[in-house]
Formats: sequence, structure tokens, C-alpha cells
Amino acid sequence: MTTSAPQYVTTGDIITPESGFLMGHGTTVADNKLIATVSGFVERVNKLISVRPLNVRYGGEVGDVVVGRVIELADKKWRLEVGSRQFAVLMLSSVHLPGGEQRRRTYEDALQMRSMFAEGDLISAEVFKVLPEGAISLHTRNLKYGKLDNGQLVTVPSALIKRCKQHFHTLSCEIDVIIGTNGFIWITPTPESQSEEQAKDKPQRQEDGDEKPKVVRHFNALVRERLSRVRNSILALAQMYIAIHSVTIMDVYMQSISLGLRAKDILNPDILQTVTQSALSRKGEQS
Amino acid sequence: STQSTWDRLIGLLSYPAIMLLSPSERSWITEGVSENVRGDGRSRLDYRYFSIKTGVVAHANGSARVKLDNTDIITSVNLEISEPDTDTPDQGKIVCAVECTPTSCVNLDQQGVMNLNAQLTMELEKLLSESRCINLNDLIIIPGKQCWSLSIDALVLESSGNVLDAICISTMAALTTSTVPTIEVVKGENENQYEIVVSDDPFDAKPLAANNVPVCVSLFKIGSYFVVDATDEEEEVTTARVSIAVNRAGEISGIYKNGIGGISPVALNEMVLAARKIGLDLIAKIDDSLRPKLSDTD
Repeated sequence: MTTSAPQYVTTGDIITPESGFLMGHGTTVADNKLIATVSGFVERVNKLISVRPLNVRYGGEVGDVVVGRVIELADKKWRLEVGSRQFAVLMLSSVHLPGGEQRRRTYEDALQMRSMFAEGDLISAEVFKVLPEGAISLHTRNLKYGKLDNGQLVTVPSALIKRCKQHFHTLSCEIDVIIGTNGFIWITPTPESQSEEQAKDKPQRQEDGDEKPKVVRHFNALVRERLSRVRNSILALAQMYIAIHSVTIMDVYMQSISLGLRAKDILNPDILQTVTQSALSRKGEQS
Repeated sequence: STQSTWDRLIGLLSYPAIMLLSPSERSWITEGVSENVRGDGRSRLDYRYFSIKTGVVAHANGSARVKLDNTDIITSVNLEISEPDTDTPDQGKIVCAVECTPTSCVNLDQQGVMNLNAQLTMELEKLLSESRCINLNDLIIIPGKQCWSLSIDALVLESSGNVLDAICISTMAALTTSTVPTIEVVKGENENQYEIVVSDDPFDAKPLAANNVPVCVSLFKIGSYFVVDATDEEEEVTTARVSIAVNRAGEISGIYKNGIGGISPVALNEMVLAARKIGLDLIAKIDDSLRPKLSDTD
């Protein structure tokens, strides 16, 4: 593994004049030299050289946590927009059914799909397979995945999201974020108490099979102000092209408070540089 | 156009992109509006930050580009010599055209984009003509024979809501920094012979007399409240929109209502008063932004 600074190439640049390397994505051979076909960073794994561009559509790998929006319902599956080259697929057999975990999907289930997830709904899910054509197949078989309520969505370039162990974060300002690897980030207030947490975890597990009526929650101006501050912090990081994770989000959040800014002023172009200062310096420390 | 009256009445309320939102996102937006903390932290009557750049189209007589968050508009003003209409021989002409690029309205098909262009063009024309901000008599060169034809072309490059307001801001900036080339009418021997001589010096021009161009303040009804400068998600949840043209003197020079929702007379009154205040603030911000450019032409 190389420890030198990453090499950045533009389309047409010669990556290396030496021979004996394998062509990866984003490269081609001309005149016995390896040339970049896209602009991006060079990645070397033993003899395989590839170029990884910055602004690509989200690719999707097994194990990724994504946030997606249901676009259409098809035969025993949902199609979701995840910012990838194709819609992601969520099979009926891959979701958590109300009224029990393991059972065969019946004809009635297929007819009731819209009552589970309808067009426009946002859900969190995990990638469990990449289909041969390149589309990703999702599952929500864990209780922590499912429909997203009470909050707002923000979209950032997927290149800014690093894969890590935990994608569900509770920030110290009592706001939860679900950082989808595809760049879709769901922001919601942290559920108040443990009992409410448990109630949220079991909305679809009723003995009689009926869905429990959802508890309608209302949020006051203070909670909304904090949530919009988190939202603007994330967008500020995206504008400055800084990696987005719970630490950098809180950096911008705390700095905006110490600068005495209201949430709405964070994205003001005059202020953007100052408010992302500590997040930027942390980036320097890590590399 | 062959568009039916009914279609035009229903209109494209949340334009340019009709987006999908989940019911919980909708209620988050609606409740946020009633709590006076919107998705981006603004209060109901807060405008987003915007920037103006003039002189962006090299061959135009005047031009401006406005960026309101991600809403990006370029307006170009062009003057051409033309013949006046037979029923208004003493007046020049003004023609407006608004075009939305496909990337600004990805969810609309070709017909939808055409309808959107027609609607925005109609609204812009209405706002400008009702305000009488440009005296058409000033645009005459030879009565009955030659006049200036003023074309105002607005291009919507990208949208994040509140497109009409942004178009009006860029139109105002373009018109107030537009210049009219100095011309001389040389009469020939006969009465009917004349020659129009345009000065060789490209800088020999005088400012266009357009000091009272109005700004448009659009108010969007969400739930039981109204907000100014809606984002595209907020437009998706809007039931009615009232666009109010405010001029420099604080007068209301035009009101246009769109959408299937109803507005009570009390609310309408509040909206007009709010729009007047916001409109005057906007004009002051635009003046501040244009001031260094205006002094350059002196």
C-alpha cells in the first residue's frame, strides 16, 4: 500500500510509463503506456491500476446502508431511487412483514404492497446483492431499517460518504442522522424516551396482524431549529467538499453556535469558509 | 396556443419540478411552517441569499444572472429596429420570452415544459406591462415607421423553487443596466426617404429609461400560513400562490393568483402588506448590489 500523496490525473494523462500493469476502470493503453480515460485519483492494488473519479453516480456494494425513495411498484417488488445509474430493487421477499417474521409471501401480500411502502415513501435499507445488470437489490429484514418518518432528507454527493461500521448516528444535539452511503441523509429528532424507542421499533409486530396506529408526534420550534442547523451543516460540508460523518457534522454545528450564527445563515457564501474551518483542519490532521 | 382555459386555470402550481414527497416529509414541512421554523431554518418571511451579476451576455444591450440558492436565471435584453403596430403608431414594442432548460424541470415531459414556458412568459409579460415601467412612447424612432423592439429573454438554468421571483429580479437588473444605442435620423430628399445612422462608437449609448421596474414577491400558502421564497419541496406542498408586483414607490402594480386553494380576504390583505414590505427590501438589496455597476456607466 502506498503512503505517498494520492496521484490525481486528468483525462489523457499518462499514469505510468512503465509496462506490466493491469488496466482497471478508467484506464486504457495507448502506445504501450497506461493512460487515464477519466479525471480522478489513481488507485493501485498490486498490479491493478484504476482511476476513481470524484463525481460518479453511487455504485453500490454489498453491506452498504442506503436511504431510498420508492418510485414505483412492480410485480412483487418496489423500485427505489437511490441516486445510482439504475433504480434499486426491493423484493417483497426481502422486507419485514407485519404479523411475524418467517412466512411465505401470499397473494394477499402482493396486493397489499402499497400499504407497506407507497410511491414517494423514504426507506432505509441495506444492499444485499448487486444484480448482473448493475442494479442493486435491497433488504429491510432488520428492525432498524424501514420507512422513515418525522424528519427531512438532504442529498449530497455520494463520494463524500465513507463506508464505516455505523450509519445510524445519534448526535450530541439530540438529532439522529442516517447517513446513506448513496449520499441520501435522513435527519430526524432523537426519539425521546426508551419506551418510545421500543414503541418505534415494534410498530408492525402485533399479534392480531393489524398495524398499530402510528403515534403522531409534534415537534416544537427549538427541535426544528436544531434539526435545520444539522441540515445546513451537512450542506455546508458538501459545498466545501469535506467528507461527511458524525464528527465533521458536529464540528460545523458547534462552530456555527460559537460564531453566534442562526441556522439559516450557515450557507451564506460569506460565512461558509469560517464556519467549516475546524472541519477543514480536521481533514488536514487525518491525511 | 391550443391549451384549454381550464388547463391554464389549474396551472402548474408547483413548478418547475413536480417531485415525489412522502406524507411524513409533507407534514414536516407544513408543521415547520406553522412553527415558523422552515426546513432550512428560515422563518416564514425570510428570503434566501441571492447574488446578481450583470453584463453576462456579451452582445446584449443589457443582461443579468441571478443565483437564488440553486435557482439560476439569465435574462438578456436586446433592442432591434422594427416597425410599430398599425394601431399604435407612436409606440415601440416589448416582447417577453421565458424558457426553461430541460435540466431545470427533469420531471416534466416536452408538453409540460412548453406549458411551463408559456405560463412563465405570460406572468412576466403581465407584470411588466401592468407596471408601465417602460414608456413605450420613448421607444419610437419615426412615428408610424420605425421603432425599437425590446426583447426580454429569460433562461431558467436550474430551479430550487421560486422561479418567478428570480426571473423578475434578473429582469429588473438587466433592464436597469440596459443601454440604448444613440441613433440619428437623417432625412432624405423625399418625405419618405430617411436613413437611420447608428454611431460607430459602441459605447455611445444612453441608459434605457426603466427606473420603475417592479419586483415580484410570490407568497405560497402552506397549511393555514403563507411563506415567501419557497424551495421546491415547499412548492410541492403549496395549495395556492399569490404573486404581487411591488414597485419602488411601494405601490402594488399587479397581483396574480394561481392554484386550486382558496385564500380568505383577511389573509389576502396580510399577504399584500407583507409583500409590500418584502418587495421594498428586495429593491433595496438589488440597488445595493447594482450600485457599483451603475456608477461605472456615468
